[in-house]
Amino acid sequence: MKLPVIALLCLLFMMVIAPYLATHDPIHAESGHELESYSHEHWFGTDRLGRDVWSRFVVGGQRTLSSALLATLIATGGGLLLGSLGNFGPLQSIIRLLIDALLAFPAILLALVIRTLLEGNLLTLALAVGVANLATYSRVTMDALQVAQHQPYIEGARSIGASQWRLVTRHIIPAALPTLASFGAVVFAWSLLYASALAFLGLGGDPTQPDWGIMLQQGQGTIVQAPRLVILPASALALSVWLAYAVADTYSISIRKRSSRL
Amino acid sequence: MQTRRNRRSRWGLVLPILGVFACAALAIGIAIISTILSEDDPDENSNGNTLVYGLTLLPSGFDPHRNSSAELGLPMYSVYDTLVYRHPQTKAFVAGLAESWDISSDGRIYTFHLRQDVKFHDDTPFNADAVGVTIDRILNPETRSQKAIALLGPYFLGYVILDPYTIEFQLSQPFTPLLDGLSQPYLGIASPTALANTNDNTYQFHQVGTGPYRMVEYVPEDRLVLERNHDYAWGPPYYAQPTDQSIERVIFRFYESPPTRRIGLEAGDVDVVGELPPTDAELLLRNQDFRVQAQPIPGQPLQYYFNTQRFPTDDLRFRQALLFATNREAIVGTVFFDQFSPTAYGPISASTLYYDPMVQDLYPYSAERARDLFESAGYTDSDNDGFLDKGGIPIELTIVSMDFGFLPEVNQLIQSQWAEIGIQVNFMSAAGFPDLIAIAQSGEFHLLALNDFGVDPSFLNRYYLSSGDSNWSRYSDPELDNWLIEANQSTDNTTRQQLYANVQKRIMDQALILPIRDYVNLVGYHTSVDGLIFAAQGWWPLLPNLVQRD
Amino acid sequence: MLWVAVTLVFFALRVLPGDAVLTTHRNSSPQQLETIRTELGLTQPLSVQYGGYLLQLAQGDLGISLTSYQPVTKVIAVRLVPTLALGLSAFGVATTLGMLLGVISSLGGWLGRFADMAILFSQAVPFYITAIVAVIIFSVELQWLPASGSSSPVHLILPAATLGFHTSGSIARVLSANLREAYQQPYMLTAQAKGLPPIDLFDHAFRIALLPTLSVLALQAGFLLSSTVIVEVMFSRRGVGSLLYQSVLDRDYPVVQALTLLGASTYLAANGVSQLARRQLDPRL
Repeated sequence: MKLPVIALLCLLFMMVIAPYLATHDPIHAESGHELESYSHEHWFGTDRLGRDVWSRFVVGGQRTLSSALLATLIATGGGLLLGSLGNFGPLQSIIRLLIDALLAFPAILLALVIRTLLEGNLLTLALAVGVANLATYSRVTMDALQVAQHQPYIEGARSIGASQWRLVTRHIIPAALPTLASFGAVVFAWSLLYASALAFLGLGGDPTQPDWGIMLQQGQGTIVQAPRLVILPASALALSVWLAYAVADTYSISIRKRSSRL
Repeated sequence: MQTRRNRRSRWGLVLPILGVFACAALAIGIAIISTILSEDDPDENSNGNTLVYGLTLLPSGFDPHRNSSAELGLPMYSVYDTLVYRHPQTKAFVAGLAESWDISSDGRIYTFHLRQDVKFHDDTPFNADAVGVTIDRILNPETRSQKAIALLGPYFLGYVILDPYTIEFQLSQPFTPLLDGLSQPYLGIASPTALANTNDNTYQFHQVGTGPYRMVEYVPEDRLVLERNHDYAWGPPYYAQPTDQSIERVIFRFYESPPTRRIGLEAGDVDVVGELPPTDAELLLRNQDFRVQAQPIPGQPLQYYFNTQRFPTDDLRFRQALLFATNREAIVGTVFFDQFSPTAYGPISASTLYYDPMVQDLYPYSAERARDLFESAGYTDSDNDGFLDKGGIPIELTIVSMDFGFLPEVNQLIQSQWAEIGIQVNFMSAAGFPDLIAIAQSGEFHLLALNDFGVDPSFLNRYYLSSGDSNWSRYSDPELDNWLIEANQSTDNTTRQQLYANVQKRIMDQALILPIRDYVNLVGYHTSVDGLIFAAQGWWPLLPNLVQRD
Repeated sequence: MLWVAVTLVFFALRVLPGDAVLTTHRNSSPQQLETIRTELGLTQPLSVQYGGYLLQLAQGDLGISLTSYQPVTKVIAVRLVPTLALGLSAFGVATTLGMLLGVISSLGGWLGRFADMAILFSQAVPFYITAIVAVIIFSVELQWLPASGSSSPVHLILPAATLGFHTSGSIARVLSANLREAYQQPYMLTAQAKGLPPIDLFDHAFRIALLPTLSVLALQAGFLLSSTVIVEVMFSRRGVGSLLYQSVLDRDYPVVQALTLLGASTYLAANGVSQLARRQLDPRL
């Protein structure tokens, strides 16, 4: 496994054990200890309500990363299904039309509608972001499968009479896999950015729960007094997004060329 | 051969690059040209002082007869005159377009004697007919009036013009808050000529009143421009006389997102802007170039309605215990800073008429008393999970609020405070007003945050009458109903004072609400600006009194 | 396809709880509310509303806004120009910067590494963070640029630059990767061996690399459209992004439907242009 993959896995693992890394209750507001600076008690100080920044940061990371991960699963799972149906099934033309219509739909509108439709929590945030990226992933899947289908060796296999099922499972899907995996990592990066943007707009669900996007939004108000409230989640977010892109790169260098048929 | 291929490939190189850059340049060019074409900068071609005033909401419209936001009053309070005014300090009624008025002894006929020296910005003379045309417009169902029609009250029968300068309003039942409504810009008198020349959709762009400023233009979401009305000589006594330093031109701009407001001030984009976040107000105070004014807004405080029809907030002792368990001073101190915002104790804020300070002593913070009340009412932690339950039923309160006005922060502190006495809380955030009302109507909440504004406490009726359309506490009490109705009919100040004292006491005795903080508008302004005074209703600046020094 | 998108949004919106009329008519009596709803056609069965809407649409009528009662075309028209200005200038910045960074990055060396860093930053940091910092530096501290408003080209600089910069990363990445890949192609190596001048080599590579970049450009147009929501809120700019945001919250169905139509058409147009450009550049197509 390549380094970025390991690093990303490490990050995800750290988020699993986040509750053990937290030194305080991330939502407990300690009266009289607002906006304290770095100290032994509060490693990264407290925010303007007297909450421990470090604890909010690690627990918030868990929330942000897991909602992005969930969103990625929704986008890739649904995208794979729709993309395959658009390529092989009997409903090809209808599915393609649907994908195109979804693509033409402003993603942020989709996310907004889902978010207002359902009560705000981690699941709906993930759903909103996942559905917003679903169309793009379906389209990439469709193209990747199509490219794979027309590879000379697959044409060859077909000409020697391999069954359709065998073709799809043994040849076409494996051929498309690097592209799909790599674009999955890109979708993860997008999900992180989208989810935090929604939270930043105040649509991230329960605003008392820590979340990097929510921390950024709340920290923005005191950026002059306490820039660390913004710097910490911002750099963590940037690192995670970068890692996701790096993973995408290691999977396939030529992916962009293929997805260029988008 | 060689040269030909070379030339071709040179072209091949140049073309795509040129193409892409040409596209980019074209894009930027179009963008800039279109911006220039669409905007003529209003700061230019002006002589005299120009002031930029920040609005903090995007009203759905600026037509005071149709639309309902308080924000529209910031410019429109100065475009229109009203029949009566409220004095900014005493809050008593003073003459406006009506020199004087009589109220019949049964409280059903209001006779207004109008000023004879007034003309609209379009030179149409002001008279009783003009008042009639405005009232007709508001009552016309096609106008779809959102607020003005409600201010006329449910008993408004119509008007009679007795002579060109005397008009009589007739009611089917006494309705004392009528004068309060008539003092607000929603019932400002508009020029009949201007109304005839426009339709309901276009009037808001070409509004004509009699006020100290006339409307120049309104570009939705970008700016609304007013210019001084030099003929103005019929203002209430507290309007300042124009001097060299008076403001000739006011440009209202929009600062919807709270963090942009202080930045707008510091970047010099705007001279006055309200609704500053408290942290930003504190920062501005440290900056010598700016001042901050904390302007109280009469009406309901920031508060939560208890749902009295749902377990466990249906239990009076439970509600009272929660009030004792809430350290309001700490919440206000942390979120809003003591220096800016007073703590609230009752259903109306201290700057509202008939406020009774008695409410301050009802629920002092006491975890002790909260614990006793919980225990005596049978709420204990029987399963030792750190949270109270009753007869094995775990207690988990749902608080519903919108994500603005620092409600998320207040929620957070309430959650922390209540956790210490064993009450578990979860939150539901409404994404907008329609969302909030949908939840309020469903009754799926224990506490719901909502507040309304007004100088006269008659706004309480819709929230506390058993039949009130916004009775979110779902509370019903015939005696409270009687007091509220009587207060709306009595014209006697002492009687009303007594009735509203009863109302405030009953609401708090029954613990129908959890009040947090009196609403205060934190207005930041550049030191070159002076004379910032607000109308009795709190939100609307008296533009004639503003001055600007170099 | 536009029809599918419009139908989707029509029904999605009507599943949402809440009522636009209540947003603005808080002070009205229940009877008044009923009258207004009937007038606006909100009491009719959904199928009738949908049919009526399609019929209206066919006639080019987008209806009236449920919160301001202004014709939707007018509501959108006044906000379209600033958004277009923002979108186009950000797109211009993104394209120019993206191409530059892409080419520099493909060259390698310390300059290339610097470009790589810039690309990384552009892609990984949420653009609203850069916007906050840029405003503090250029508007509050240096007072060079206004931080809010949309009334002159000067107001465009900060939002367009931050948004454009953060869009340029994707373009640069794709261009750079494809340039490098193009140089690896066998015929390029042959041409190199034959001693073709570097400028001609670059010409070939660039033309090959430009194709996939064009489709990314089209994709980024969609991204820009979504991002204007945040930019417009942050810079107090007038525009369709903030209108969309507010209209969804207010359940102003006709406005949201019209904006969907607009968004979908923009996407289609961008895609069409990119297809056309590709066909011009790639003789195989």
